[in-house]
Amino acid sequence: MTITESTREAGAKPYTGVVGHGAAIRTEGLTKRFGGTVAVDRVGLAVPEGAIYALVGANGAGKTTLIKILMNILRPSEGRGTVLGVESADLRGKALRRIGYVSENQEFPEWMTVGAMLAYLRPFYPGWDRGLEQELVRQFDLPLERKLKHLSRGQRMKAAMAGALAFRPALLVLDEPFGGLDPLVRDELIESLLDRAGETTVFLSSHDLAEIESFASHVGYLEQGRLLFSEEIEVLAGRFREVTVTLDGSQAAAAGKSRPAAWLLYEATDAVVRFVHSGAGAGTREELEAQFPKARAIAMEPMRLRAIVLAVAKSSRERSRA
Amino acid sequence: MKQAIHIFAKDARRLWLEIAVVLAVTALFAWLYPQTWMPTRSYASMGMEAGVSVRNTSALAGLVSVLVPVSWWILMTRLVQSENLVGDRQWWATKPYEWPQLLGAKVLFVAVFAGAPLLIAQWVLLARAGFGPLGYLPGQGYGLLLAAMTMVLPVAALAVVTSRFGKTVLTGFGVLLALIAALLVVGWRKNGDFSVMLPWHLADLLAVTTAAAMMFAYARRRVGLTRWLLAGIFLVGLGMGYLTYSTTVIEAAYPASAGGVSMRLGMDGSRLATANLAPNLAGKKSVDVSLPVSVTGLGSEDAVNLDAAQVTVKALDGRSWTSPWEMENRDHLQAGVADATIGMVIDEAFLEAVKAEPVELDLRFALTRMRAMGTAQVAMEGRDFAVPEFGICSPVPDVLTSYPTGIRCRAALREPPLTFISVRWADDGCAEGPAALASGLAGGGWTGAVEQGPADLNLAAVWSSGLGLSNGIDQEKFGKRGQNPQRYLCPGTPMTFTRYALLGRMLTAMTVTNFHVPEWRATGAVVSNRTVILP
Repeated sequence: MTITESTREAGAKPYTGVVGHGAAIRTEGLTKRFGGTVAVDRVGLAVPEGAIYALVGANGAGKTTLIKILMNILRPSEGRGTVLGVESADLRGKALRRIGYVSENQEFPEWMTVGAMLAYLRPFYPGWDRGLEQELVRQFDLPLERKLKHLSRGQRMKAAMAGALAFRPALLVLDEPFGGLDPLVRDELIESLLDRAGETTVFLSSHDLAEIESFASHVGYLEQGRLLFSEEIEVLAGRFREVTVTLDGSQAAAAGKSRPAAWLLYEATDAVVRFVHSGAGAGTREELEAQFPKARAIAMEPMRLRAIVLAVAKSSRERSRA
Repeated sequence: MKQAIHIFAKDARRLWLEIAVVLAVTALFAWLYPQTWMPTRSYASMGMEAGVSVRNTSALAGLVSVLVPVSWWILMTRLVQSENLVGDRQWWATKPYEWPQLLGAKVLFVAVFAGAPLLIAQWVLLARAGFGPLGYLPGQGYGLLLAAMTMVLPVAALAVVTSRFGKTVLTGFGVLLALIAALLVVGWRKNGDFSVMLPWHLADLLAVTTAAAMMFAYARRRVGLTRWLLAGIFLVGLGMGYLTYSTTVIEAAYPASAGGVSMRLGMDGSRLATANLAPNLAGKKSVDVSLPVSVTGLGSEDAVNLDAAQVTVKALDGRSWTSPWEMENRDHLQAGVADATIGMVIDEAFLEAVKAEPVELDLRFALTRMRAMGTAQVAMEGRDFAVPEFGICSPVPDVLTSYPTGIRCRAALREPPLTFISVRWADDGCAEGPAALASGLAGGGWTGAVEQGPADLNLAAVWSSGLGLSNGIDQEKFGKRGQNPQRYLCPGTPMTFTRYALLGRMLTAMTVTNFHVPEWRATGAVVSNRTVILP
């Protein structure tokens, strides 16, 4: 039997948790219902301080609703959440001085110029850094004299980001910050986030998996309001393997009948068994040998975040159908 | 406070156009409004109704006085919705606004850009009306508070619980329609005055509750509960309007026994009762029966006002019908008054069924009793003249002869105290000088309010009114070719202003037996030909 195990360079930013050891965001059984529709379903997550946490999921998965609950824009139907140690339902006034929030759906004060908006925001934040503000204006090439309503979508997001970063927030919450932006603007925004990594915890939502894999340290996957997983990307990448088992003849159909729950998307053809192992680790090799004693070859391939998420999503749907 | 000033400055920059409109309308108001108290010429000597305005600016002044609150409403709605509480996409909601600062900024804005300009406009108006403007500051403050409670607060509350200007306007119209519908449902009433009937100031309580509901919305950054509270306040307000005429409230405000009162009301047998068909807004047909009454036992210094009346009509066969309490709003009664009448609104269907036989009328009256407290004697002048503890009056000149045909008076902040003005008319102009006065016919009229606060709800802070004085027109000459029916108040004419003060309120009753219901007609002031048979 030949067992091969490939490795690949991890794209994710390793999490060091430099700011502290607590959770910047924590939720317990957080639920939001709109009439009979459950938008967020008993979500429990913890975002460690200093992390860049990406909440991913398809459109309508409940990402924006979850963020709005955390920002006290919406009230939860059940459960609770804390943001920087403050109950999300009490998050207002001074408690917002340490939190930056940028959303593609916000109604900006369109009548203000970029310069007026930054000047207006300044007194609200005791920690506003004029030097950083000027640096961000330069970095984003913001037209200070132009009104927000006359800015392109990308410029508007950059202006909002400048306003959210200039006071060096302890937490930056971004709701779909990159949606519909051209790659150049996207890279500029990501770069600005990475510049502040460590001093600021970033919690962002996105449906672009390839993009967030390049810089996020943690990821949570939301589907139909339910959080299917939430963990550090390195750990996640470490435990997911795409396994291909080659068998002699027609043994495949009979093999692995009592397969563990951690095997997802199990497929068997005449001589080949394929599945995603969601609990791969040090003992996986022995486990597979035991499950497939007559295997000719077993190959374990690491998976990209996108492939992991797809596997989890498909598996979840299969389970729901079953 | 620093944050409030910061938000205030931002709003001032954003809403400069709305502010400019408010300032322009307020300035126009201060400029035009004095036209409303300028005496208009009387046309009676030409056989036309008196008091016809010859100035279009007077109508314009009336329009501008409506535009002042309208401009406030636009400004306030835009102001409140700059930091909208409704919705889940507001930019400001995720910024560290402190709600007392935000609310303070809005209140400061309204005070600076609506209250202060009006205060200055009132100073201008008071000065133009002949009153020293700076002597009325506390009253002006009270008047502005009343304006804030009645004109600013309800609209601000609507703006708080709606997301867009258009929605605020639509909701406002919705509230108005609901109000009209409620009035149709509960039946159209005559003029009402909550303050008389509800001494516990429920209206003030509603205003305070509205303000509290708004504060709650700002504090919690949620409008759900506030919407319910405002709907509740609206319903309580409607209930108040309904309860104003309820027997319980009337009996609470007007005690049945009032010691030391010897006054009695009785049917005046020398005059006929009249009746007219009066369909109300709800389409219900009623008959407006007017009953002549006489007042006896009233002291020479005393007067009464019939505030409200309730009638029970009893037929010989035992059927009966009782009206709700109706506001009377008739003139004040004094000893020796010969032409007092009481209006009763009776269901037409019932009256139709019982009119063939005489009926019994059981009447209950809610009365306000007053007593003369002081008198001011002044002589009529050809220009503005001051009346102590009353105000400033001006002659109303006749369009043909320019002789004064009446007076128009004004007072600072509020209606003057309830006052009876007695005069003596000259029949043939004022050319004869003082000799014309001695033989003239007496005339008189009431004006003013029996109960007064520090100020009325009046944006101008100047009350003005033409005084309706009896016998100013010679009815025998009116409409006859070549004859001048106008009587005059010649310069030098002595005038007496008698102030009355509130003594108390009481309920009294009167029974009319063997009353023959007069015939009634659909329109016009047609009088019955049937004789009223008195008990």
